[in-house]
This record gives sequence, structure tokens and C-alpha cells, in this order.
Amino acid sequence: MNELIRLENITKSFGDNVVLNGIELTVGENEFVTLLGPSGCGKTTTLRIIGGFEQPDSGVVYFDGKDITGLPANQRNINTVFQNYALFPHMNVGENIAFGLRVSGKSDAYIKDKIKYALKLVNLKGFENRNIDQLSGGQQQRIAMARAIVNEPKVLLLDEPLGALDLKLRQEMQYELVRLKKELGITFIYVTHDQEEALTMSDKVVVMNEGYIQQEGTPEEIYDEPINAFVADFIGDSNIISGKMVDEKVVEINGIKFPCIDGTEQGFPPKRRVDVVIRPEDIEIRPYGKGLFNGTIISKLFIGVHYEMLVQSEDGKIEWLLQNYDQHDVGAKIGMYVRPENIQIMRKPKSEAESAIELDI
Amino acid sequence: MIRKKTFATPFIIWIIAGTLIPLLSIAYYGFTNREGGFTFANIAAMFEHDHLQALGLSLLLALISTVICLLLAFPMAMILKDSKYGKQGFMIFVFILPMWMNFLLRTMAWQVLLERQGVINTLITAVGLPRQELMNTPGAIVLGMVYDFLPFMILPIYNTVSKIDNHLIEAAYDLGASKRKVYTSVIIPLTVPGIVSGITMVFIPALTTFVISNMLGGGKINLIGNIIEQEFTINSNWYLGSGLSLVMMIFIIVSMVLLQKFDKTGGESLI
Repeated sequence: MNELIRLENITKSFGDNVVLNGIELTVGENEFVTLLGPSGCGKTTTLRIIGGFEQPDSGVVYFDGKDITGLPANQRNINTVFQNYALFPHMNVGENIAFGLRVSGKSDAYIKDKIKYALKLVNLKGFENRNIDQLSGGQQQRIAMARAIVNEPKVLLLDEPLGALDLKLRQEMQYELVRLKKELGITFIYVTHDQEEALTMSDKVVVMNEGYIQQEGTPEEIYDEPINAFVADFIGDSNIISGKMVDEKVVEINGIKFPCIDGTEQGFPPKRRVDVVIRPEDIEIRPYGKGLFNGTIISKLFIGVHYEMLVQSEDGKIEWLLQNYDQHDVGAKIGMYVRPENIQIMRKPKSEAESAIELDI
Repeated sequence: MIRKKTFATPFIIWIIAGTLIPLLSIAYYGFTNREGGFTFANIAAMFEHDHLQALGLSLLLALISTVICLLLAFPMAMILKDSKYGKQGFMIFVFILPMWMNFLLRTMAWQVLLERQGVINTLITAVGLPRQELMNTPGAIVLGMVYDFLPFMILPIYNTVSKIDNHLIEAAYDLGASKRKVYTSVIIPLTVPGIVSGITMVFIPALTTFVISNMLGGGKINLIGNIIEQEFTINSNWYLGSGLSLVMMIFIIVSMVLLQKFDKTGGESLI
């Protein structure tokens, strides 16, 4: 994949508040990259620096191999879909979409064709003469998309574009966005705090926290192999427990030995203290005494497709979060088993500062 | 239900006593001659040469003052919008401060400054330049109008400008607009409601003022406001004064209607 955008050691502070700490990021041509993190993690600032709305304190932004750090927003071949859509309230739908084309001096016939094409693309045929305040949130969102893409940008920046929509519409729009991206064949850089959105749509997810990039990878990599406790916790539900390597590829949690697939080779030699991540759906329920460890169900919740259960270990020290299609009653004693490949071993944070970065969620 | 009406009573009394009765009596006097008979003469008197000249001058000076106020207030409002670090509140305070002082005192202050022996002439002659005739000129009146009415232009414009979502401005830049285009296509059209109320609040009092022209025009320059005032006070001719007032009212209503039109069309035509 050809590199389209590269951020090199970007730092940014607002007053005393350091928002970005040496961000290094490469975005490939035609890639769907999502910046994911809690509010205040620096994801929107990163997007604004790419869009040209914010100047980094230091570092370089490359676009197509050229340094565009100092280039103002109106000279970048990048368009943005803003969080609140930012449609011009004094113009109708057609005029909004035409704005960028008018500015660049396109002919009336070309503009008319483009408006038609864009409205068709976002499934709002015939909306040219509507007023902005006559549109629903979802429609405004589509018009904001249309207004951005008629300019044929190489990159489309999307700042939490689905944040204001209700759940059902949000899920619909996720499919729409993926379809649009395929049809247009351009790069999307998407900012969200919603991990589900990030996992559903992206080619690459960049998890950020406190101005640092925590991990970047495909949605599968991020979900299956979180690099630290922050990522594990932020992406989906998980059980994060401290443990200790007791043997080659054996980790001990709360006095119980679990075979796993990480050992010295992966940087986890025996006697090393580690963090262990086990996804709730990876804990299998066995009859009592037939698993690796036992516990008592202390709460049960039906959350749509499956049941979510809290299981207390027999010594009462640990509560495990389980997700299972089968339900078991509160108070039932069960056995539990985890496959070695589903046990994710992680480095413990070295210092207090590092742990603050990784665990402050 | 009864309670709601009770609360409305003071306002109803206020409207009847403060607006309706005076308006009706102006209308009565305006269409009546000294003998008590019905006449259009008081209205037609506006077309007498002296009155037309005063009206023309009033319109001209009010227009000039309004344009100057607008040209000063818009950039000012934009600067206030973008100023950071909590300066905003203080800056606005500075601009509003003169409004707390008595209007007559403020105008009188200009007399002291502009007089033949005034502060400005003292400074001018001190550096060896010839003494200037500053008082009793149309320029002095315009200066007084701008000084007195500028806050009424700044406030409504600042109010609208400060409510413009910065994302709209960013979106315009994002779509490739130059700074000039961002102003002409986004910021100014969205500021039209503020501009319209600013113009209304400056143009109408400027058009009808007689205090400023009395104090800074030295009685030599007659605006339509002075003529009406003189009819009521010096000549005790309430009939003519009321007739001319009615004509002025029509001017004001027409200008307000025209301004409202701009507001509704979103102001594209203003540019």
C-alpha cells in the first residue's frame, strides 16, 4: 500500500495541557483508518492537524511525500465531515454541496451534475432545494458527506460523524460509510470513541490515550492481542488480572496454573509478573470440578444475544466476567475452562507514570 | 387563568398610557388646524423648502453615521469574537461603559473638545497649525452621532457574530474558500440579523435626534428633529409638530420594513 499521509513526531499543547506526545502515524492510500480513544486522548487534535485547522508545536505532516505542515486548510486536498455537520444554515442543500465547487470556479453545468451525483451517492435524490433545518440528523449527516466528497479529496476526515445519531441509524450509517468508501476509492480517517464503530469499519485502528498512540493494527489484532491493559479494557469487555509466569508457557492466576501460548520467546520468561487478559466470551462453562477453576455465579444479565454473568472465584478474591449463550442461575456452582490461545499475556507497566498513561481510563 | 391576566395589567396600562394615547393625540393634532378643523396642511408642510432641506440633511447625516458605525463595529465585533484569554468580557465592558454615562454629558464633552478655544484647537495651535472651525459643522454632528450610537451597533453585531459556530468558518476554509470568501459567503450573511438590528438602532435615533444637532450644530444646522422640536417648544404649534412627526414615523416604518426584507433574504443581496 502506498503511503499517503505520514505524521512525524507531532507534539501539541494547549497552554500547560500536553495533548499530543510525539505522534507517529502512517496512513496508506485508500485505507480506512480509525483514531480511537476516550475523550481528551488527542484523537480530534490529530485529525485537526491533518486537516490544517491546528498547527503542531513540533513535528511534520507529510501528504503524498510533501511537507504540508504549514499549509492552510483551504489549500489541502483534504475535506472534513464535522461532528455537528457544520452545514451552512443560510444555504439550501444544493448550495451547501456546491460551495467547494463554486469556490474553485467550476462551471454551472459541472456543479449541477456533481450535486446530482453526490445526492444519489448518499441516497438523497431530489433534495437539492430543501432547507437545512428541514433535514433530520441522519440526512444532515449525509449532506455533510456529499458536500465534502464532491470536491474529490484524496482524504476524507470524519470527526465522530455518527455521534449524534440514534443507535439504529448509527449502525445503518456504518454500512453506508463502508459502501461509500469502496465506491469512492479514497482514504478515510475516522475519529471515534466508540470501539464498536472502530472495529466494524476500519482497515486499521489506532488506539490513543493521553496523547500517546497505545497500539495500532487491524481490528482483529487490536481485539485479540491488546498490547496493554488500557487497550484491552477500552476495546470490548475483558477480564484483566495480574498473574505470574510460573513455567515456560504457564501462567499462574490466583493460585491456579493456566497453560498459555506465550513464553520466553515472546518476552515472558518464568517468574516474570504479567497482566493477563481473558475475554468474557472465551471463558467456557464446564460442570463443577471439570474445568480449570471453579466459581459461583453472583449475577446474571440478559443483554440481547447472550447472557452476561459475574462469577466469583471460590476463595472470593476474583470476579470473572463471562458471556455465554447458555444461562445458569445465580448461586449455581460451575467449572470454567480457558483455551491456551485465548489467554493474552501482557507486560506489566514498568513505572507509575507509564501505568498512569495506560490505566487511566 | 385569572392570575395570568392580573400579571398583564401593568403592561396593558403602560401600553395604553405610554404608547396608545400619545400616538392617538399626535395623530389628532397632526390632522387638525388651530381652529379645530380637519386638515392635511400639517402633513403637506413637510414639502416646504426648509423642511425638505432639513429632512434631506437628516437622512444624509444619519446615513453617514450609520455607515461609519457599521464600518467600525463589524471589525470590532470580529476582533472581540476571536480574542482569547478572558479579555472578551473586559473589552465589551469598555465599549459599553460610555452607555452608562448620561447621553447629554457625553455630547457636552465633545463641545469642550471641539470648541474654538477647546482642547483639540489648543493642541493644533500648539504645534503651529491654524485654528480649525470644528464646532457647528455637519462633521461635528456626525462625530457626535457616531460616538453616541456606536455601542448600539457593536452590541447586536457582536451578539450574532459570537454565536456563529466556528465549525462553519472552518468548514468554509475546509472547502477551499479564501479568507475573503469566508467573510462574504459565510460570516457576513450569518451576521445580517445583527447588522439589521444595529442599523435600526443607530439610523432611527440618528434620523430623529435634535439634542446632538443642538449641542454640536450650535443651532445653525437644522435637522428635521430640530424643526419638530422648535414647533413644539418655541412656536407652540403642536399641530405642525405633530404633522411632521407623523411623516417621520412613515419614514421610520418604511426603513424598518426595508431592513426586515434584507434579514429574510439571508442577506445575499447585501453584499
